[in-house]
Amino acid sequence: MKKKVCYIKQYFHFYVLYIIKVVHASIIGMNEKELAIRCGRGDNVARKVLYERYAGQLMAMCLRYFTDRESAKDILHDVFIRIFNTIDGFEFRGDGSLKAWLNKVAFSVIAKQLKADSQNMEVNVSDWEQIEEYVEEESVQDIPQKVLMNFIRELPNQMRLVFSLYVFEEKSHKEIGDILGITDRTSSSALSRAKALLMEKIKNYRLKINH
Amino acid sequence: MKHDQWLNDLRKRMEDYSEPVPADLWSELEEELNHQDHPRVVPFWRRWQTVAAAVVLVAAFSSLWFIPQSSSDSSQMTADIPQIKQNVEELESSPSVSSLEKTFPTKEQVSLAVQSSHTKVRIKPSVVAQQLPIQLKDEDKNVFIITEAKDEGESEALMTEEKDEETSNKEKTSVVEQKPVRKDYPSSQTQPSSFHPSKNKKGWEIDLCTGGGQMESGIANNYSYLVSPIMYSKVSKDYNSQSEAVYYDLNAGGSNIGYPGDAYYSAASINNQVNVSNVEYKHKTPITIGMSVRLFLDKNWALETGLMYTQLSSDLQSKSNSYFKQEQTLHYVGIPLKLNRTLWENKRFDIYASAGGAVEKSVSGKIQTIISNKNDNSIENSVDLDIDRLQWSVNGGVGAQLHLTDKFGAYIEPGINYYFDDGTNVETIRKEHPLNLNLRLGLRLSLDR
Repeated sequence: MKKKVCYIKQYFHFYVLYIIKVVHASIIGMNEKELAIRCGRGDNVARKVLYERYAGQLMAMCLRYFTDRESAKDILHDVFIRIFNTIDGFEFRGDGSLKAWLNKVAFSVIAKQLKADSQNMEVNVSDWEQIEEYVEEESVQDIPQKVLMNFIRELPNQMRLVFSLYVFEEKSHKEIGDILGITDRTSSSALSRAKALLMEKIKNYRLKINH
Repeated sequence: MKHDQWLNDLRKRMEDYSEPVPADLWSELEEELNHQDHPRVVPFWRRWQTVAAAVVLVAAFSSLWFIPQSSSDSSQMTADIPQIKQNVEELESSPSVSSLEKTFPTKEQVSLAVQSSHTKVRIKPSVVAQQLPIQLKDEDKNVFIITEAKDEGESEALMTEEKDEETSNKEKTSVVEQKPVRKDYPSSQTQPSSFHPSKNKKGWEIDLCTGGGQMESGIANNYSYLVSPIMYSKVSKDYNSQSEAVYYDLNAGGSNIGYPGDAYYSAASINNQVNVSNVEYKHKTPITIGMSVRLFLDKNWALETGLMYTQLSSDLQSKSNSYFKQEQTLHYVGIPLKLNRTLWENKRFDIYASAGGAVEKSVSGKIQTIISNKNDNSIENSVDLDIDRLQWSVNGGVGAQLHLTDKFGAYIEPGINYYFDDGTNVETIRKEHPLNLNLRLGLRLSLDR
């Protein structure tokens, strides 16, 4: 009888812990691992949570490559469809792995579109010659993110694409060349020019606000 | 990003950058996902779950109709009256006991007329007669239920018919009379009281002796009575065996208690008021349990229906007469139809608001009357209560539901109800406070999410 009581006590503890966990989860919200699992099962509630958590960042990513908001929205739509359709294959590997995976999926959708678009893109290399290649580095820490983003968006089309792919997606020039249909030399050249342009913009901005 | 610290810094700086997303994107996504997940979207009225739910509802409804009905509707009553009239006439004209006996309606006849009331009586030794007021049925007819007392011996129920008597109550002796105090009670003093000791009529008595179960029928001098076809009561007057006759007589004028030594024949008239004067009702809070099905119309709105069971329980205590107490229990089964709106949702809970109506039917009911006398003897009697009418109500409330599984949930829903008058005279908390609070608990199946 004593043993039985012991078991009951144990089960009771488990039960209490379970209840606490459930309440905690319902208050705090799902963690990444659970989110991924439930989305994989097609749980609409989890899907919505995932969307709400990551749509903003993924939208920002899309906007880097597609400055027109409508196009960016379409791309984002495709991104999420792909996410929800393939998330059941995702394996959680620690903090941040979900985000990394989401970025990867988003990138593949974006790259596909960029490749398709690059057929039609014209590169006006002549404009680039005017930009100095070496520039003094400016600090970015005090500039608002939004401002920086706008500077990047203001870059000429291909420069922007190259810059973004290199800096944010950490692609090599060769890879960039594949996506955009340019040589890796063009890519590297575009990068340094983009960097120079950005520096200038930052400098001008700082001068403006300091007045 | 080799060797370029600045670019690295920039990347890190922009890592969590977020842009506003167009508001309609999610709903577009959701729609597309739904189309993917459920390629063949069957309208909800065709899904098997809806069919099953409909079958359950139909079964529930039809079972309500098949529950033994109270057959004490007027037509039946009046059909029996001619027969009874005849008996009474014979009664009057033939004083001899034996012929009287022949005029008594047989048990079968009695039971035919009394079809609806399955009476059970427990008599404690020394207790004899009882007559109980019950309120039944649709119109303002108040019918007494008179029980068929069964002792070890025999008993018999008699029926005679109401007579219009002009004799007053004054001729009664040692009767405690109370004045009616319930003003809202439809009082018609048109009919004379049910109690008419009138000297020159012939009546009879049935003697239920505790002693040996003998049946004596003799002719009592004084009394005649008014009786409803359905019920009747008999009284004993056996002074010799020290039995105490306790009875309770209700008439238009008041409620009376007879004490030992009185030989009263009491009866009730179908047209008479049940005058439960000076009675205090204590209604207990009803609780409803139910099983319900919720069909989602769109993301937040849902239609809910199901089955629910409610128990209404009340205590009646006669204030003027502490010897009289009744406990009334009614069981209702009902079908609600409501609209739900989800207010807040979580993976574990959701909170919702709900409004709608319900129809309920009493499936069984019971009034248990306890009469005790000075000497602590008591009679108990249970009478079944059949209410034919449906109870309609409207209600609204908020609820919380715990999701047990994907489709099942347990809910608790406090709410406000308004009950429409069901047209009966049964007094429940719903009559006294048509607008009231109640608590619903149950399980819910959510479909079409």
